[in-house]
Amino acid sequence: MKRKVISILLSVAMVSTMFVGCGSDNTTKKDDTATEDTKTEDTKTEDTKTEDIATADSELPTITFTHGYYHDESEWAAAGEMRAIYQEFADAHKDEFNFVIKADESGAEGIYNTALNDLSAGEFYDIADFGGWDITPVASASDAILDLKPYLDEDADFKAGVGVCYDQNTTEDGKIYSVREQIEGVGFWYNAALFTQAGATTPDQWQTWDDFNTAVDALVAAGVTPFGLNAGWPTNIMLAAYMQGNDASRAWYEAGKTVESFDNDSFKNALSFIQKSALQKIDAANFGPGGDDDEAYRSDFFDGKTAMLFNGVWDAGGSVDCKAGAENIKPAVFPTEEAGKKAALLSGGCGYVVSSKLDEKQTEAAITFIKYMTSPEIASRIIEKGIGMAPSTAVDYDALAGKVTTDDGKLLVEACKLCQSADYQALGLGNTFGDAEGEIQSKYAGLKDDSKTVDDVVKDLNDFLAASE
Amino acid sequence: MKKNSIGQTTTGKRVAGSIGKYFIMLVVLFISVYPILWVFLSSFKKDPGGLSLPTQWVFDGYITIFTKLNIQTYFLNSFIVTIISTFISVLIVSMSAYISARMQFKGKGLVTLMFTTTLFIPSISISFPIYRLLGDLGLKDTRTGLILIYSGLGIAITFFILRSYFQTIPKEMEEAAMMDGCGYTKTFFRIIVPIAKPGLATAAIMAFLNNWNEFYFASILIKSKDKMTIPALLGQFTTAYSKNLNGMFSAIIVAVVPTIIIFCMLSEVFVKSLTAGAVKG
Amino acid sequence: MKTRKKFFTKKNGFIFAFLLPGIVLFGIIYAYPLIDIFITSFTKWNYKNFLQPEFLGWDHLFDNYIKLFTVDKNFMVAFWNSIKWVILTMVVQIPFTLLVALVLAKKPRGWRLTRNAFIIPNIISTAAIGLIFLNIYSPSRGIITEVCNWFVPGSNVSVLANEGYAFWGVTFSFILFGGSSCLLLLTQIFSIDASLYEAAKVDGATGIQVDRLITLPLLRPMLGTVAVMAANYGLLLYNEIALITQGGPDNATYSLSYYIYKTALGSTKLNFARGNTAGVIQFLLGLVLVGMINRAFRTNKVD
Repeated sequence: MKRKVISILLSVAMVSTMFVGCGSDNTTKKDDTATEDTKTEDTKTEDTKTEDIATADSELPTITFTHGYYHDESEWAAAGEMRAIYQEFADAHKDEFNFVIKADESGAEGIYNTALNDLSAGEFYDIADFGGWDITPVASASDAILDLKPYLDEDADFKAGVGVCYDQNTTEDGKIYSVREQIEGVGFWYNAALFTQAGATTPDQWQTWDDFNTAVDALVAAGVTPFGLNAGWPTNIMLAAYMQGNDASRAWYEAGKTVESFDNDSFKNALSFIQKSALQKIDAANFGPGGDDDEAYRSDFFDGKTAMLFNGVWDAGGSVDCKAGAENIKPAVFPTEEAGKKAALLSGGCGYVVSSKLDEKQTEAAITFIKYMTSPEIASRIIEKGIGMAPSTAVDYDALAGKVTTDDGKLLVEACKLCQSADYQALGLGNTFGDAEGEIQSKYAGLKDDSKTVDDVVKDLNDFLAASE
Repeated sequence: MKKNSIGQTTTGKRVAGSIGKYFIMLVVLFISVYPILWVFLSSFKKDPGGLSLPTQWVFDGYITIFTKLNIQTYFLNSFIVTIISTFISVLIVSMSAYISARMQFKGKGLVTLMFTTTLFIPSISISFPIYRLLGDLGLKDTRTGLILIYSGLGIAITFFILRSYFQTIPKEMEEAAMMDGCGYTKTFFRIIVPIAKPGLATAAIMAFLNNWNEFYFASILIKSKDKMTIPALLGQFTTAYSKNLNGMFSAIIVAVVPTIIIFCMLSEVFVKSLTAGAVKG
Repeated sequence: MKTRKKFFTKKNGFIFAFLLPGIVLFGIIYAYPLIDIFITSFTKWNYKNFLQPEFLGWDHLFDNYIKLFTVDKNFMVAFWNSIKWVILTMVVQIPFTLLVALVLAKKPRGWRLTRNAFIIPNIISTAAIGLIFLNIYSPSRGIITEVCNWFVPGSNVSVLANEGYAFWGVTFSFILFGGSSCLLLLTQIFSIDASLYEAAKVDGATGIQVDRLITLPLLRPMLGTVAVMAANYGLLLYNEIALITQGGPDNATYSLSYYIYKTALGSTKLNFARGNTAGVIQFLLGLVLVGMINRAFRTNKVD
């Protein structure tokens, strides 16, 4: 009997020590994190501030901002610049509130995943930059986030600063849950030398899509591959751009979020353009499977193997030291069916999102921060430093062009200017059709090898819509 | 005459057999070494791709990893988390696996079923409850939290490996031990565990490898820089607009080479512990 | 009273104490999700009611299941693909791995190197493996297209752009990598009592006979374990798909796991109810499989 008890006790003791071990371990750890929290804020920024924060007035409201620019400067200079911009704000306002800056090492995707997990536990970030990952549908349905529209409406400068984000991010029930300091500006890039070599008209002189077709034929005839594509991003850009050709098409596209059927003449027309005038103009070798790691269409362009690249303004950076010769790389925006009118894709998407659970002072701090990030000064800085394109309509591109010294910086300014001044500006395919984007792009391979017709694709897409209901 | 012909065919067979043997080994070597070689060579190329030698050797990725990033912190964290969780998981599961392999009791099927079910629960479904639980326990952003989860991930595999290993240990060993007056617990730790060392080590290696590369839970739970594990290195080279493949591949090599070395060293320990176990038996 | 006393025997106490930690671990990590996916598969649960899944009602109890099998084409593709991948691991990966293990068990020259090398593809992150295969299949940089052009000039096969080939493209990115299974089998083979082999040798048995009559029967439980692991990998296949094809072209390479991810997390609609319904099906499929494998290898039998 004794032995019985002892053996049981022994096992129980063993198990419990293990868990107690974990438990005691975590209490000490918890203390660690508490002290470390304050430390990490400033190790991330530039040293010296240690005392400031340590002695910061605990009476001041505190707000934590999370972002995905964690990369080392040597890997991505833009990340360092963004952190500097945030830190300057924190320093400038250190007497009004404690602005705690946190970098999430798993990037925007990690912030999004964490936000979902947080939501499931009834929590949310104070304020975070979601970098394009759209948390707003679920977060707003869970009542976790703040409507920014009232703040935008009462301040004209603020509204100008967020530019296209205002209209694009207005929900069906008239709320704006997110604005961004950067947008994806998308036109395309071309290699002027290859166009001249083939005797084709360069995109800056195109009037309509017909000129595009003529130029592509001229390139093909001269043995130049007009462009590389894949079952994803670059082809989606073409499709979205072509949809901006005329009024009917634009109107249908704009209502894409609530599309009920893809059986639409403009859409079918655009698909057959993609099939006949794009996909089937290039070899299998220039058509990749798609996905994040399939960037042959880009590298081929910068290697001087293809004449056009469908990608955003940020790819100005790709021209540095490229084999195609940086001097040959030029930005352009898309033609339409109306002579001389141009179209570009400008997608704000999801950026800053603020919790609805903050108190008045914290909310004010968050709004002050977003205003700062969308101000003309920061907008110019974002473009000047080659980080990306800003949505602000108040940016003076001509003045910027004079200020920028690097070649790729000049290209970026030029590209942004073209996008900003395009006659028609629309959202990208993903922001427009949501999940259906993935379904559309999965059909490109079939369209290319003729195993699918445009009507088959439309039918499949409608089946998808029905199934996702 | 008859005897002779048999002798010939056996030598013929033997030659054919060893050719076959080496052919299979060559195939295995090729498919196994090619990936790592490709990654290794690519880590020195500006634009990774193809299996040619780099025309221009680029060390940017390695330079960033070793000079700019706190690589020793990542490694230390990975080791702490992976080793402790592997130990806990193998210890706990070995006890259950032993019971399931040896004892007859009511609900035995249920226990096996319980471990089996963990194989097929979609990881997406585990995420929310675990996150909430760790939040309640105050274990978010702690290594302890990660250790707890890693101890539980993959218990099914460990369970199956150990159970089938225990099943092959002759029962006479325990019977003899019991006769000598050892209790059940003592028998397990004194007799069974030493014999089962190779099986335990193999199970531990499997668990170690899985946890070493685990990324999703690490990225959700660990937010402070000083607690990050190795897979987070890869993220350094993925920016919002592009991937630096050269850097990513350097990170893969840096993450993998120590594991391979440790594995090779351990596999020698295996062989030794194996013979030791046999002698005792 | 008597039966009660009997329950608290030393043996039962030991059993209970030894099982407890495992059960606790299971309880912490898996018990709740397990119940959760079953319950939520009978609810409406997406981004609109993320915090409060809504019961579908008794009349519509099986709506999610019915939808999966009737209107959701991607699910059906994923369902059959996953079954195909399970079968392929059984008929390709397991025999191949077993063969390698039996060869290495004879300790030919270089066996240790081969064994250690074989595990490498299982250690490297799948991100790297995915990129390698993207390169191999790439029509412009890869080798497959070139090899096909030798046989059929001008065929210009693009593996990942063709619905028929892409499935095999994904399959070959994992099917031969059985290194860890091989290690398990080897460990088991080496633990077989050497005297059995000695006896066989004395009786004049050939190598293949020894393998067939001694090694294989004793290897059976571990073979069953390895089969379960491989089948599990085939059924849950996810990384390779996310990295190489993303389910395409034309959704021909969806797997159940990829479908669950796409439906639940990879979409702003966050259709967790549908994802979990597919999860339940994947789960049941898995249990059936393990049952079948256990029966085939009789791993449950205590010798």
